[in-house]
Amino acid sequence: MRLNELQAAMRAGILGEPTEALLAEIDGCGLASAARLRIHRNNTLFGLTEALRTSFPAVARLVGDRFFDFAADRFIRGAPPREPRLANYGAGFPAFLAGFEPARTLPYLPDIARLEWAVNLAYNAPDEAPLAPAALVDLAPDAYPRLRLALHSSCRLVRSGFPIKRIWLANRPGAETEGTIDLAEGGATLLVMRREFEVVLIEIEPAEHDFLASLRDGGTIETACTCALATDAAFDLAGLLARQFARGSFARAILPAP
Amino acid sequence: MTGIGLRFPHHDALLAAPAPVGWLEIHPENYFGGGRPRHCLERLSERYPLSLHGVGLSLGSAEGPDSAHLEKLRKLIDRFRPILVSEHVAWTAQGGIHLNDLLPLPYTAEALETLVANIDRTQDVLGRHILIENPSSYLSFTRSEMPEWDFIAAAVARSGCGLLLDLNNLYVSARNLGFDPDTYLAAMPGDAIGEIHLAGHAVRHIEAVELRIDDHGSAVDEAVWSLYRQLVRRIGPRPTLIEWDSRIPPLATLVGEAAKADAILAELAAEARHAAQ
Repeated sequence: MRLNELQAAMRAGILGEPTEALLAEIDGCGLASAARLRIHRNNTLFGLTEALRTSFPAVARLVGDRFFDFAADRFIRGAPPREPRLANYGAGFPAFLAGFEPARTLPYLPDIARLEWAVNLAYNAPDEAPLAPAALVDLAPDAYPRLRLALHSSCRLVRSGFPIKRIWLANRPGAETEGTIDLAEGGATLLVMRREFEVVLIEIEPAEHDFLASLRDGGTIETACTCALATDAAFDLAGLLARQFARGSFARAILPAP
Repeated sequence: MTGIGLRFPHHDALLAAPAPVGWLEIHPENYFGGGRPRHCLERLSERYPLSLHGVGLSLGSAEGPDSAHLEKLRKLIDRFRPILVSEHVAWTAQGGIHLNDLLPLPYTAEALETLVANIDRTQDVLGRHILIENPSSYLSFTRSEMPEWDFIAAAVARSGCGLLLDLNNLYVSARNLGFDPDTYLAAMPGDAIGEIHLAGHAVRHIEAVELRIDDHGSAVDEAVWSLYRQLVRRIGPRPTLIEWDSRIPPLATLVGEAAKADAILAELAAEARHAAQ
């Protein structure tokens, strides 16, 4: 085998089962070749499972360590990392959980995972100075509708029909388990962002969510307002912008061409 | 003075009070983002010299290191001006998949070509010399054409890079694959050694065969300290680093291990002075 073939065979043999051709390449040195290869499989799966546990601690606490290890094993074999930075591994885990038959009895679990992934991204986002309101003072009023505002790199929007903020708070590492949470008590619409060095979960109105989601997707202020007004006819743009500037939700203004 | 590997649980303790360690070594991949980790690193870099010890470059991959990863590494180097930059003699990536384990190479002429070409490219992009670290091995390949020590020494000689000699890895490899650590040590080019790593490992058994697992989860083994004395006697002192990555103890434990290395260096320096008189 050429080096690339050997490495491809090892990759496949670590994430799945080794071929006879691969095992013939390995000197057992007193052990079965497969047992030697298994050391690397265990190292790989253990390291990646721990990386997922670090990024999804509430999911791990909700399902217990054994179930988490089982789910992580299935996920890792099907969707191994595509970049070397472990903190960036797990973007697909919430969607995986949504389709994971053994987890179906916990319908809120994928949403908790989406929230934890947003928290992880916010925690690790690149440093970026928030946009100061002064950046817009010279903007002519008639240019506002065509203005685009880029969200700060740490900002994420998460929405769920389940009370995910309460579930998350009760299942963070070290959290005391409080009484019970009624899954029917209502959903959550959250802006997740980093403030100083801690990640905060800010409850926002559905119209505010739709406005920010539109900006996130590259929409102008006008498009974003249309989205927000469709959700809430009493939507107040000035109040919303003031709140965002106070929070530091924006990173850049993309001014319309004159 | 001996350094320690910087791990997240020790950020606050190191910022709160100065620790008697000579320098800090980081995994650059842990600081590619912003927020608290980056902030802590910025502040610690004002107090301690830094070394960058990569784990994700995959120098042994037939497909070569990832360009985006190299670029992030270059930016971190430009910002922090580390005293040392190192990577492993191993591969982690194939077909764009990163396995997060330092996987072994067959010791063939083809793999040597690949490794040397990847080191060359890395040194070109980073604009500086790097050190390569000998692996901890759990298996060998039937098609290997040379022993591990010859492969490492040849990679260093041909690429002109330096050597980070991990004595724990050397010992682990020797025990797992049944060769003499002294033979390996004697084959290492002393002039190229720019750094020494020391760490603990675990002992496991598979089918009654003893295996040494390089988990960096305990104190340095006596046998590894003994190799350290032997090496320093031969080549003189080198920047030495204590690594601890699993079951991470309080900072004081790492500082204690570093002090042990410092005491050995002092003792051997006195011995050398005495012998010269």
